[in-house]
Amino acid sequence: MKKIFLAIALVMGVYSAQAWNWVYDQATLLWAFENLTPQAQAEFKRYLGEDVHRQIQTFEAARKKGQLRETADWRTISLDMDLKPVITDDKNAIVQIEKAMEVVKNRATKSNEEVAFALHTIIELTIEMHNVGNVHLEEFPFSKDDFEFRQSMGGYGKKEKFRNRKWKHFWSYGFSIFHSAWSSGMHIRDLKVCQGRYKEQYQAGSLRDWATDMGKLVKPLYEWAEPGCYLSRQAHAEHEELFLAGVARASFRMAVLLNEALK
Amino acid sequence: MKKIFIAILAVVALCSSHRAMAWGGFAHSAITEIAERNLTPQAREKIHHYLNHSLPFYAIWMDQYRYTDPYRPSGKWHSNWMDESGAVDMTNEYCAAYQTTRIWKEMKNYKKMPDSVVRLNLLYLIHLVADMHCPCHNVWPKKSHPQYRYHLTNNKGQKQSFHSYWDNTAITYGRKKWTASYYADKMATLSEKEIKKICKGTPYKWAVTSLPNAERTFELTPKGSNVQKYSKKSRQEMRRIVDEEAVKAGYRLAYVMNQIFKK
Repeated sequence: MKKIFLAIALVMGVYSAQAWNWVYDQATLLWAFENLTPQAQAEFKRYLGEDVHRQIQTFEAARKKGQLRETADWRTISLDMDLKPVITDDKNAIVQIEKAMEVVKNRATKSNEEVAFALHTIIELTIEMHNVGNVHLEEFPFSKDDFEFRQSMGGYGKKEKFRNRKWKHFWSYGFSIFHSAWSSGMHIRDLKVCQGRYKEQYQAGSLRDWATDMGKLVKPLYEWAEPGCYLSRQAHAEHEELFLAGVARASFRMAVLLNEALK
Repeated sequence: MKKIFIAILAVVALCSSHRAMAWGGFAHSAITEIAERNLTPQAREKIHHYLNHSLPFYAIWMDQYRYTDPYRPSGKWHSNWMDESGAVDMTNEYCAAYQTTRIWKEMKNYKKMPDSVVRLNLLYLIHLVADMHCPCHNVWPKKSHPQYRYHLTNNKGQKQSFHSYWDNTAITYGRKKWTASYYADKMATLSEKEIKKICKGTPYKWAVTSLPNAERTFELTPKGSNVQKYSKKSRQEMRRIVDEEAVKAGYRLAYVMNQIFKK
């Protein structure tokens, strides 16, 4: 019986650990790839192969097989009261991306496997650190928690419906449900329309500046959101713009990191 | 033990549903994708300006907000309503064809309207042009015509509404992995001459020409029929009906938008 419950917990855990919806992750990477220099694109393919769209959630897949479990601790960023990154050990996205950047830059002395792993680290953790659910603010301790809240699902029936949701799960999947059957190409096109003009703004600064920027982006959210809060349809729509701002930041910044690492 | 394994399978199925399509969303995404591809550059630029997104982003906005203030009145606009003689009732303000005509006419003066009104009108048109082509979105008077408020069944005796079948299942049956863009690639392949022919006329005429398909749905899926026992021939006809209507809706939505933003 215990084994059965462990199996259920494993299945639930695997799903709750995903970054964004698969197609959003794919769109983030493919749009970043569009913004790579021809040289960086060639190097990317040299180490990871021609199927660019498949190079996402690789750690996720490994964790499902019981491998690379330590990577589950690398996904978050913590920010102090001034929104500066708190770095106490290597269990955070910033340190792991910085380490991976060094590996890729020194790829002449590394094995292909080491470089591929480092590239996947850059790809996955750049996505993770731009997921609202992975940004922890010291000012709001509950930002670390996967708390429950109540979301309005709008009206599909005769009156408005509600749903109890988990906060982190919501920031991973909460928006894709309203855009069912979208391809990554559709997401990229839409992101270009709503976020494309901010490219230079998002790409300015360093990795640690970007962490602070994410803190600034999500701080207003935690000024109202707390365990048990109610999310209206209107608030959902506003948060979707915030979510997309995170996706676009991840994509533009991934391009900066990969261009720099693959010079 | 068997029950426990069934429970585990149910949990797995629930988790997997994150990637499953919301069926109603599929058709709307596909229709708006076809429309987006057929916008003139001028119309596309204006629409992206007013919406800050591509058309598919707002494909189901009217469904999400229909029972949310202040959009409640629009909750009844999603179908074409017939009069006693069975003709499309253009005096009924609930009628989708009536509302489409009204908004289209108003939008001829879009330059004199506040941006917020133009935006709202676009959100309505995006959904209404699609809905008025949905075969089950036609309401006849109770006394003289077939009604759409009945249920179908399956091998297990579970109920599915006629409406849900034609909204969702008929267009997605056997197409689980299809994205909206794949649908548009496969289905929206008409020549310019054919598109011109489809777009000729008014929303009223479009509604009238869709009626034979709508009436046929009652014969193809009669009350209490088993959805798992429809013949191959019936399924082919169902697919013809929904594809024909969805493709027409996509081209016509683009046409309405292109006409509005011609100037």
